[in-house]
Amino acid sequence: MTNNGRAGQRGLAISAMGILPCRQPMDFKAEDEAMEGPENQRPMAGRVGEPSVDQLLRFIDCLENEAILMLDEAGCITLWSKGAQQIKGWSADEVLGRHWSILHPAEAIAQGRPDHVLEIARTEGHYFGEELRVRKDGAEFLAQVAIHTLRDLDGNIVGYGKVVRDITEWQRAQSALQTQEDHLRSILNTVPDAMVVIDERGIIQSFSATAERLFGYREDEVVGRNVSLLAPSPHHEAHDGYLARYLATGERRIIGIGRVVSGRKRDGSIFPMELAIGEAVKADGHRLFTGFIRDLSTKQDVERRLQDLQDELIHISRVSAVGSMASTLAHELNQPLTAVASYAMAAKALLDADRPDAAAEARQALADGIAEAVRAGQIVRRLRDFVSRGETEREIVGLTKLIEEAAALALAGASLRGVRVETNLDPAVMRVLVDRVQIQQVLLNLIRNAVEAMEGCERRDLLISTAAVSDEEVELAVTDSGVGISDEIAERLFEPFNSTKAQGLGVGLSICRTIVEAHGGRLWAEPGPEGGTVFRFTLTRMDRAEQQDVR
Amino acid sequence: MIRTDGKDDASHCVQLVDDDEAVRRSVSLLLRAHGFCVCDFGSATELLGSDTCSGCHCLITDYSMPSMDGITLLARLRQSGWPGTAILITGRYQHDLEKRALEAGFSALVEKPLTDEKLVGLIAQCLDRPPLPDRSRPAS
Repeated sequence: MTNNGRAGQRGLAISAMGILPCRQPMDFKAEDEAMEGPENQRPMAGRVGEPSVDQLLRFIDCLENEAILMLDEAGCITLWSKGAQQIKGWSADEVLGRHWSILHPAEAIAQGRPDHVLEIARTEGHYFGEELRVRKDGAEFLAQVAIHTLRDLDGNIVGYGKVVRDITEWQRAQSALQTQEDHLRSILNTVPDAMVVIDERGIIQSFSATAERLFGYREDEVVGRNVSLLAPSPHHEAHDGYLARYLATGERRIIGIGRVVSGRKRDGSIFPMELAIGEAVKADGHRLFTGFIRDLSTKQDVERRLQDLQDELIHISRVSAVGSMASTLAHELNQPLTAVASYAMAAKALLDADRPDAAAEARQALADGIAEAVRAGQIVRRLRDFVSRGETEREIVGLTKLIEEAAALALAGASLRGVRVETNLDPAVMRVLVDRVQIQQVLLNLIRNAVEAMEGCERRDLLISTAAVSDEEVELAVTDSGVGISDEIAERLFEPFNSTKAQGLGVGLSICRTIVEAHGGRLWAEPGPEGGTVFRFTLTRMDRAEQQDVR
Repeated sequence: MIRTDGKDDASHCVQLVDDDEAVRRSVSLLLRAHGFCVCDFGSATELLGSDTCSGCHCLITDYSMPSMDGITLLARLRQSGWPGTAILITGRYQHDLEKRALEAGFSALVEKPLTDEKLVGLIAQCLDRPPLPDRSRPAS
């Protein structure tokens, strides 16, 4: 180790600040003279109460996982530990006195990297970095390097202390771990379920990207907060209790089972969700719970269900319309039934009276009674038509009669106090091609809506009008003088289940549009000329001779 | 008009008001067949504007009619001092209608459909006079 005659530079001094190199054994009593001394004099013992330099060197040699070396101010190697030999392959004899650039890959040398690193260490006092180094056999390895600039008591640079660790394996493991974590995270971010991880106290530990989208919170906003934030009452208040009970009893009510519960979004809205919870016990014995959440209210689901229900809704709507019309129809049936019975009883009484003209009068009474029975039958048939779901049966129908019947039905049950009803029908339009029952349903809905829209208004004018658009098309309009429809409601007016009214005619409007569109027409709403709202829809005209032949 | 007793006695006369023509015609015929004199009207205002049957002692009126309902009609008649008896008929069930009818001074409420001769019996009681003997059933 003394091949270059500079072994004396290996002298070490121990101070409270760490290891400082000396050119000669430390003289603790005359520190200002300590930098010069005879060569080959090695400090064999330190001050009383402190380890000797030899002991320190042996200690350094014991460090097998770190290469410890020292450079002089020019960058030549002056100390080479056993760990250095182990890691880099060279023995001390092979490298002592040589410039430390031999430890660098050729490329780094070409870039002047060794000098640059020492320059940094000189300026900063130290250098830390991870970089490639070479072994004796030429193999490169990733090294974690720490260099400290060593100065004498006057502050002059006397060399550099250097610790190098081979972190190739560590780096590989780290990178493998990172890859695994990235992989896992990418999987978790793409699964449709939202994930929320909480600890035993219910404090959110992590919040997946899907959870962010679902609940409307960013991960950094909810991590550290109690998960009850995401639950509506009464679970909001009780969630801590659920956790405490589980930890105390081990009784599983949802963990590993899963159930449908309600969640609360940032905007306060409540939605149905399917919640499954997994449990993991950490190394420290504490538990983590991972909630997997599937949104059950997604638009797709709703739309699919609505599509399924569309036909059924038309049916339900009719049945409920019939429900509200039941008393009207009962009344209508009562009239002909009363007449039938009265005519029959009158005929009997007349015949019983046994007078000369009784037979003729009785015959007339019975004929009138039969006519009334027919009338009752028509009412029953109308009810059956209205309720039955039936396929669309289009026929050429007189428009005036169709409108009058629908208006009569619609206005029969309504509270009409103060509503002025006016009709203004285009005389040029006589016939339309429609399913009579369906189009009457549309008119009935629109007229009832109009009457309800005017409730509480001072002026209550209802106008039902028709106007020819072309030879093929007629436009029907139901105009009210109500308060009108706000833009917000107008946008969603025809969506199923949208209604401003408790009783809800929203379904009705969406079905009305469906019916009109099935007839090849259009249905829309617009603000009325003097306030209020106009609902307009179009139907196919059948007024030309050749059109009537086409039927 | 069928007069089985040959008298044109106002005390046998019934005023009938119903906006449904078939009901009006058939009930009129039934009552006449039982020997009553009947004056029928399509609305309350029609009756109030007429003096042909002002001497009638019995009123049968439908409750639900477009311009004026049966209870209002009786109130008007009472205001003008009409002392006769009145029967309300209705095809529309309302839970408190009978109470309101009795309070308004009707003797009875009869619900449609009228499929038996209950009305005939009631009218006879109201007029305090049995209907003409009917050979098909015992006289009441």
